[in-house]
Amino acid sequence: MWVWKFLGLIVLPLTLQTSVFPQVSYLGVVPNLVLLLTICYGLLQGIKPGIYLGLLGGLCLDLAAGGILGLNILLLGLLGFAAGYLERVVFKGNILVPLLAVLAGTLFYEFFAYAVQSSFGWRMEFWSFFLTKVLPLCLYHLILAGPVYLGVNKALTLLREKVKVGG
Amino acid sequence: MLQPIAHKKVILVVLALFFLVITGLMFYSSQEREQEIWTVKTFQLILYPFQKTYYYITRFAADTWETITNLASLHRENDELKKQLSRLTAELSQLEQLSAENERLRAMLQFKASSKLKLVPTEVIARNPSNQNATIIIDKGKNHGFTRNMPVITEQGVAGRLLNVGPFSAEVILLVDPRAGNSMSGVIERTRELVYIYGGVRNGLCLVKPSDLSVKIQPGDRILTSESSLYFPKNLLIGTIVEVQESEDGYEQQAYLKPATNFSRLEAVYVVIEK
Repeated sequence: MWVWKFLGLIVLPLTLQTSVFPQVSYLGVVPNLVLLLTICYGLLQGIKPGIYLGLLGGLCLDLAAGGILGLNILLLGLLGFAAGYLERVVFKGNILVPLLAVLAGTLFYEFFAYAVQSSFGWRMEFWSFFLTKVLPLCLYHLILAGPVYLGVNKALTLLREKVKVGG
Repeated sequence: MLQPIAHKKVILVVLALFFLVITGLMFYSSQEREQEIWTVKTFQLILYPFQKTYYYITRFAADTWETITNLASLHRENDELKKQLSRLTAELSQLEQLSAENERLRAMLQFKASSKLKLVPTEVIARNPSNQNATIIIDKGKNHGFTRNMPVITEQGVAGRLLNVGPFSAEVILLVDPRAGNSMSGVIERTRELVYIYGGVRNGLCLVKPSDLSVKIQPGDRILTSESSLYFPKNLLIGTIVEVQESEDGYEQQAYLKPATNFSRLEAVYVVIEK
């Protein structure tokens, strides 16, 4: 069961993110599907599953991207934890909750990554980065957050029913 | 009473160790590595068949859709291209004659003939999943004779160089990647003076700094690869200067270069095997 979850929640989105979405990129940015899924999964399943998916998804993202290893592990682990914590305190039936969570998560992720990369000597002017990368990415994530959240919710419901029927 | 406190202490210690390991890993991996870590190489090797499959499916769907929607204009374009082809064939014949004459003159002056580049065409099958990094994955690797730092170019100009080379695929670090260490030397076509080009900085642009205070860059200057470049053959087009900034006293300059290669729709590149 966990193998299918791993494939469905990490490997498939990662492959789509690297091979399919670059061909339909919006304003030169590609959505971070692993981040979207980590936040949505954490919101639906709680702290521990959120952390586990965040850490594993972050590890896969680091291995696929190269660059500074450990950055995505840290960021997605934190976001998985935060989304999982929200699972206990907010009403998940309202679609605004995942949208706002994804927006906040995207901003946190991008600014933190920018700060870490700048401290390691990477050259990016802040305003250019904010206007040409962060803003379009937030818009892209807001568009995708609803379908991804509903899709993950539906998939988890079907899995639970299958497990119940299977005994 | 003690157990919850002990449990919290264990969690704190684990968290502290986790942050320590992650920070160490980030410091270790922040600089360009001669050899990629084996876990990264293995994961990228596992991901490669999935990326290639999705890439070809998407390309097929996109090409089919484009063909259907463009059938009418394709006919007109075909006729235009046929006319262009016959005109260019005539021009090519003239150029070949000029080239032959050039060779004879060089031989007479005992110049060393410029060597032709040996190029291997490759397709771009994936891009870096991070929006901050600018690297691509191509569908050839060590099995085709590729090694690290080989230059990568397009018909338009310089694209980047090979970073990590696997058996079947390779990662190319593009000119516009912002990481520390991604830089190269070039010359201003107008004056043949040396400048240094740094990736990233602004979206789609590179930073250019003159090698010396006496070197003056102007908007519109074309920057070519230099003879002193470690990796690139000379006289390849890197890009064009779009903006120049000067210090208040007018001595120091820095400029922004628009690369000749369009990185947003990169589908095929060439790896230079021999300079």
